[in-house]
Amino acid sequence: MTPLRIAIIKPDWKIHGGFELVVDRLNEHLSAQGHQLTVAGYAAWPVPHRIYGRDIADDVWNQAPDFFRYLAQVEMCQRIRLQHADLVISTQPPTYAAEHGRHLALFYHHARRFYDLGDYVARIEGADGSLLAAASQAVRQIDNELFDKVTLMLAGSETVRERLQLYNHRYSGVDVFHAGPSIDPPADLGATRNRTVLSVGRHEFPKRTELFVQAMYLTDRTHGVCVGSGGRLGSVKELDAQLANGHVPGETSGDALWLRPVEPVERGTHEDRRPEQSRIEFMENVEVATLQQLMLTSLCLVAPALLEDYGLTAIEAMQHGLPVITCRDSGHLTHFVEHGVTGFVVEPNGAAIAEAIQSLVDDPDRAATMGAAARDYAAAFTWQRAFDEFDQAIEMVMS
Amino acid sequence: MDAHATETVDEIRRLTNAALGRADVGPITPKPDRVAIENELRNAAEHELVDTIPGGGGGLSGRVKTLVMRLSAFSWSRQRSVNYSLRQTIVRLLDEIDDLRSSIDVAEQRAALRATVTAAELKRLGDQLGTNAHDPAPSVRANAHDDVWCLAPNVVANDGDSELDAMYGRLEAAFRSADSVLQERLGGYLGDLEFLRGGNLPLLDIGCGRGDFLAVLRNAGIAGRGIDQNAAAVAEATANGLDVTQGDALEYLATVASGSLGAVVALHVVEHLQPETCLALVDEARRVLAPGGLLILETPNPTNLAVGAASFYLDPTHVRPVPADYLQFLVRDRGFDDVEVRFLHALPEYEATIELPEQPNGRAFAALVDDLKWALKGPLDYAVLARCPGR
Repeated sequence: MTPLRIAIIKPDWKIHGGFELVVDRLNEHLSAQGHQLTVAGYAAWPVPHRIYGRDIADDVWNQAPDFFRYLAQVEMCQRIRLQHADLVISTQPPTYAAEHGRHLALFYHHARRFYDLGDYVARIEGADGSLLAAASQAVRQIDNELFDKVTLMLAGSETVRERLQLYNHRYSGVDVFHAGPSIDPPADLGATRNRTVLSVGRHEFPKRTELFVQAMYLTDRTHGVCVGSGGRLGSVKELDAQLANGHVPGETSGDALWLRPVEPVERGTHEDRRPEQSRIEFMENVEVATLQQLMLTSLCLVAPALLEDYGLTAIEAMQHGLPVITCRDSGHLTHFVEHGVTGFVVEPNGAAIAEAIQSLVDDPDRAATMGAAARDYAAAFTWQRAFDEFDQAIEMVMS
Repeated sequence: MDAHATETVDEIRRLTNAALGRADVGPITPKPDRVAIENELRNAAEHELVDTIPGGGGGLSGRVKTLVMRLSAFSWSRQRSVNYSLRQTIVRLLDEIDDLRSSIDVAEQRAALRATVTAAELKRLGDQLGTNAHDPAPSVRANAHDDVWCLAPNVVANDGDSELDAMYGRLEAAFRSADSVLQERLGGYLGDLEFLRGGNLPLLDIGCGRGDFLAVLRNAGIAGRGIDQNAAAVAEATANGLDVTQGDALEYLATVASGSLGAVVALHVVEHLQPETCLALVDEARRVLAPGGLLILETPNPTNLAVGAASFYLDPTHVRPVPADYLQFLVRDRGFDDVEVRFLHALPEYEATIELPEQPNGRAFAALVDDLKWALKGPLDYAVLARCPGR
């Protein structure tokens, strides 16, 4: 393909998570093909309280801060001058607001509090339902018009494509892209597995790491490792401490365990309260080699996130021979896991997850068989396939 | 909903319209007929039979009545449920009608706004055409907007002002040099561009205006084409048989193949550009020029104080004076070779010899006089000429 001048629109959220790793890989791929890349980044936080020439008073802003932040970014993206790019690739919401005749939107998720997570957010934050409804209606209206201007949307999974159909009635102009792993799969497994149960993911809503913690205290002869950081880490550690002390929190059933507002816990204080008998080791920042070693030696991965867009971590774990335990409302994760074959799809509660874990602890041979099946299934998820899908999308946009 | 929330919903509506480029239609207030319907529904709900079942009263008939009411409570309850569903359905339908009404209002207001804007634009163009019938069209009109190919939002300029555009045309006509002077000045570059004669690589004149320089080149047998934003100027150039395109220079350059031009000329353009745009222009010139190709950038000389302090600001679209030291540095920094600064168009007084009387500090005094001559009567313009490397 002729070298192109490609502008990539990416908000800077001051984190480097799974999506950023995907973008990094794609950037490397495009650069290697000789394309000239420019990342048009902008600070997604904080944003000015002035939008489309209107100063938004603090008391108004604070009633719907996420809406105003969203719209401020829409304006920022609309003002980026891109006419000299041959191709524009937008990434997270609402970078698809950038205007260009050849626009590929790498679309992993909507501004989800205004879509499928709205009800949950309202419950967690005690948000004013009518305000959230007004904001959601506005965001969907804006998104629909912005999507119309995008040449091609490249959904991060079949689940994301379904959401675009459900909420935005986009039945055409959407292809699917399957990202490859951020950790290279091992040539062979080799290592002996122990009874470590692994959880990898940010401690943020809607990752529901609370369910993993709860499940660990309902299992026998297990050790949990919880990899990841995030704003709810303090709260999750508090839950761990309570359970380790034999105290059962008042709200442990149903959604209440994870659908609760959390107060920021000062860094370090929860460490002091953690008892010796904690069954979970929390690891905030781990090297790739350490994570790889964990995946090679653990028993299984628990991925309890709510309505996950894709679930790259699960694919990586499966490539390392781990069966995956996920929940029936875990979104795209349920596409990866065939119940009883490559893992378990269970009810979204600690007891059901614990039962699945325990079945693997009690039957290591079955765990090994499921791990091998998981590895076979996940082998198809390679960066070569991802690059092929991506290149095909670019060719379609350029044609 | 409290007052704050109502205010926030209003703000959401206003900003949504702004994001979608729509006129603000103001708060959507229910139409009177809707209010009447809602009152009817409320009244009906308040007087539902099941909510006002009378007591049975005393006596046998009263007890029987009470018994009948209790026995039929199940069916009353179902009727209440049906009524409730019907009311909800009617309210939803009313909501949809309101939404449709507001959509129609928005569409009407957008149409009205477009009609107003179109009428104003037509009037402006008509006025401009009337003026141009008597005055020469504006020539170089480099846009002061930022047109570097990918700019962060905080450096993007606002849209132009149509009144300013119209005034600009009249201003430039009032202050432009006589055609004969112009021809002579432009002809000064012919020697530099001689190498293009008979070759395959054309010249691009950025901000070519009505094509004065292109006409000089054509007369000299040098092929060239131009780009300018001013439609009237481009029309005049085209009518004169010149190959001129209307549009943004950087956008146009983006369509030009790398290494395909023999020369890029931008006369009195860079002073109209923000530094980022100027840099982008130089970079693009570097890309489209063939090895050995020539770049010529001419601009007012701000070290002539009369220019730097006064005449530069006669043009309201000038962004900032560009000192020769800077432009020379920029061009060299962006990879050009053989960079030359050529000062141009000094006033006649500058060349005149001033007889100085004998005095003790004669040499220092003479130097001071030279400086003053430069500062007051020296070159009005200068040009940076540079070669694309790899000849």
